[in-house]
Amino acid sequence: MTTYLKILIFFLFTVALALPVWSARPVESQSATEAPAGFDTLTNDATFVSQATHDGDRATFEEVDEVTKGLGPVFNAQSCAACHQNPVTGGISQISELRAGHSDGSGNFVPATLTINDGGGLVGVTIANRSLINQRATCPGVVTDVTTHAIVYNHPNEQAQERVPGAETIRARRMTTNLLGLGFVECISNTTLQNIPNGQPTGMKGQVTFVPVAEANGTLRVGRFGWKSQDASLLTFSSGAYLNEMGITNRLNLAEVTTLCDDVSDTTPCTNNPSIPCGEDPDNDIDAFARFMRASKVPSRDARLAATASSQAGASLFHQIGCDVCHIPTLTTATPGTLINGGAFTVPNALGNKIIHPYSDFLLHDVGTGDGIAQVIDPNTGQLDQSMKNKMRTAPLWGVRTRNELMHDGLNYTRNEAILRHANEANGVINSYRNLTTTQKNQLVDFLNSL
Amino acid sequence: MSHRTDRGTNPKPPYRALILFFAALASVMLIGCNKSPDTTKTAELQPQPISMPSLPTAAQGTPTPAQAKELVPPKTEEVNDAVVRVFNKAATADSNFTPSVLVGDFNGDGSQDIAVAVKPNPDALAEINSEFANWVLEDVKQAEQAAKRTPVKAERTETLIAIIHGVGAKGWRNPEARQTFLLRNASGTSPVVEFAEKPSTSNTSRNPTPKGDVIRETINGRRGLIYWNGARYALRLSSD
Repeated sequence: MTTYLKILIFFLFTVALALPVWSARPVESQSATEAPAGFDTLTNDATFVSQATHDGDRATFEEVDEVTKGLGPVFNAQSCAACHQNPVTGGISQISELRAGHSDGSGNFVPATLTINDGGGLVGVTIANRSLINQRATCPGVVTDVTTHAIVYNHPNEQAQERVPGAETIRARRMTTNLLGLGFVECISNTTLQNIPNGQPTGMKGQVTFVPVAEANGTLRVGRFGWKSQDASLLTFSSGAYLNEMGITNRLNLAEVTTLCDDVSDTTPCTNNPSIPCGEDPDNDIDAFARFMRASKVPSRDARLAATASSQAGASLFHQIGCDVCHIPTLTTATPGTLINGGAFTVPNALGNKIIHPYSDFLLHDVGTGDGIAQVIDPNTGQLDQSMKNKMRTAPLWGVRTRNELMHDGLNYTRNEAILRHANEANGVINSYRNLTTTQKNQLVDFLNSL
Repeated sequence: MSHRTDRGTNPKPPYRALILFFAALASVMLIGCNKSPDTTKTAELQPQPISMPSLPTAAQGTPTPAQAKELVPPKTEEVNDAVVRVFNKAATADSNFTPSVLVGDFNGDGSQDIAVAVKPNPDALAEINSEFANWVLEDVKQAEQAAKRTPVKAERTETLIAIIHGVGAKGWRNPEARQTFLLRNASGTSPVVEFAEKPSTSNTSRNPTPKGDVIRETINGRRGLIYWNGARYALRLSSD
């Protein structure tokens, strides 16, 4: 019996020693699971964001804002969904944005400076150092209430319409990007993205950007959103887009691009916390936008096309010729419980330790398509990082089947043309593509059309 | 019975204490392990910004006109090699077109490119016009007219301009240089290369600024220039 007891004690001793080691293992090393996929407007996990909340957030995302709610004075669209809708709210669209600037004597990009309100003897107003050009304006304009017919906005003479001066010779289009599944992308750890270049061959190593997280007092994080990887947090992105695309100030961006013909106060307190100014967004719509994206599913594949022999052969070719060096098929999100965004967000179970297939490394590369525009501030110098001006973020290919106009500027209409437009860092890969037979190229395109 | 009594007297007190101790320790550990991962917060590692050394402009992919201007005249065999590299037997250099070759940094990437007049080989027209061709066939008149763009097809006897983009210091002579734009309606008369450092267009124009050197020539009696707009080659006629 003594032997049994010794064995029992030994067993318990072993368990006691092993438990701390076992419990300290990151959850990531447990088997990660596939992120939910689908173009269906359903929440990716009802225990994270309920369907009712998700539906409400979608309604906010789709809400059409008017000038009386703070729209403008300069803007691009009246709702988020106006530019992010295909095939469901949060997806892509055919809409592109305009950016402009010029090169200084040293070849550095300088964002555009333009003057508004400069017609008919009006006093001009300068909008300086801003590459994003808003295509729409609220003035000149007089708006009446549809019910009472009373004038609710009365600026018949001011001119807020932006026009690109001829001196701003660098002009570029940018297609609107997909937002579905970005909660998972947000939950990719800095380390995961920073380690990617280690596995990329010399001459093809992606450039990592370091960008401020607004809700964490500007703490730097690895960028991943936008054509220049200029954002790392979905709340920061939401806040910036609300201001820059719709002209609506919010608690993280309280200053208008211009105050010309702006009637709505930018100092209104937040409804849920009167001690904080919320600008033209007292209900904190920016939180709803961020939560909507975080609860959205990743783009799903065309299952029937993906199952075909042609598409599967194309997937093999995609790997064989090296497309996946930058268009990385699979990434895994950080462990649930990880603090990200400078500590402002905790990776929830719904988004943590999930396998996603974005077909991107979210890093910047020079593939000969650079538009000459620098957007990210170099944290070492406080100046625009000019080394990235001719680089673009690797376009995530998930959901590319929903897109007709290809590349960052939408100027390519066929998959073959878009592929052939890649050069510089991608030259070797594209020459391998050129060596494929027509049948193989068809297979590769079938694969792309399944994503 | 005595045996059972013996068994009843075992385990001895130290064993009992040890069993209780380890059982309690295991219980505590198990309880600890059942905590939700969300409550065991670990901050992700903060990024370490790297001080980027100041790279030579060319390494940043920015055009340096001076590099492209150090032009070595192309030899006929070099041009033919480049044409074969791109087209194999689908097209051949059109030596009857004058000048049949122009050199410049047409896409403004700092690497020397070549523009060659070519003719499709009669039995390879389908390959020239293939959706999966290794070149981009385009009509320079349509390049800036997205709404009006129609499918582009080359014709049997047509002289086309092939612009082969260079790679690195060797430019268009580099065996890796295969990116090619095959242009319809671009074969004018008296073509010359206008280098990028000369202002080739008015800054007040609505038209985008060319990204590199341009080809200035006369097409159907009108002066015009062919330029790279970042995605394709476009024609701008003098009255535009």
